[in-house]
Amino acid sequence: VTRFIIAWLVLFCATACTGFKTPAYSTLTAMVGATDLARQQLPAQCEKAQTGAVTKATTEAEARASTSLIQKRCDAGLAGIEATGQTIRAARDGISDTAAALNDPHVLTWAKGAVDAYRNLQQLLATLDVKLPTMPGGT
Amino acid sequence: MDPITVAGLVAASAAEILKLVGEAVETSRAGNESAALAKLDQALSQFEASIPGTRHELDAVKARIEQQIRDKFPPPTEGTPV
Repeated sequence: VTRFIIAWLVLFCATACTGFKTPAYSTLTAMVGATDLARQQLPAQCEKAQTGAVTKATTEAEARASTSLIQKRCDAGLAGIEATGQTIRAARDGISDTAAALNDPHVLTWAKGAVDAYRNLQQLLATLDVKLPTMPGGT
Repeated sequence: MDPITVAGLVAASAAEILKLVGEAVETSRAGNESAALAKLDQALSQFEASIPGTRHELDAVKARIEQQIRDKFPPPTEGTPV
């Protein structure tokens, strides 16, 4: 019985104390999900913002200037969404290709790249009233 | 690998227990990792495939906004004082 308890203590520690790739993959999956939600909201939010600008404008030049500015932000938003996906894929490939533990500096660099891309996108989309959830995993 | 049973663990030596536990951890870890990776790959593929569609949606929005501007500010017709 003592050996059984020791065995399960070893099993518990091996599971809880070592860095596995699984949590990193789950966090990246959550980031993809959140970024995809932003992608789904983007066209409707862009249309809403531009329709409001047209309604508010008193001249054609004013309408064109303000809608053009919003369109540029929308295009940048989609480019940012796409770039975030690419960074997440790079992190996925980096983590998958290495046998190192998750505290390996290279893995941290890949993960940081994905997190930075996500945060930049969060700020960009906020200007279009598209709310990207807080960083999945709470980091 | 044989399944770990209470009777088996009690009968086994310390070295055998560690070996069995090590194998069990490795199997569980590999299984979890592979399932998590498959889920991530599926989400990423679907996400990447949806980007061109969103680009088309933004183009459609652009066209509708252009129409709204034309409707609100129609070009002056001949004979209309500017």
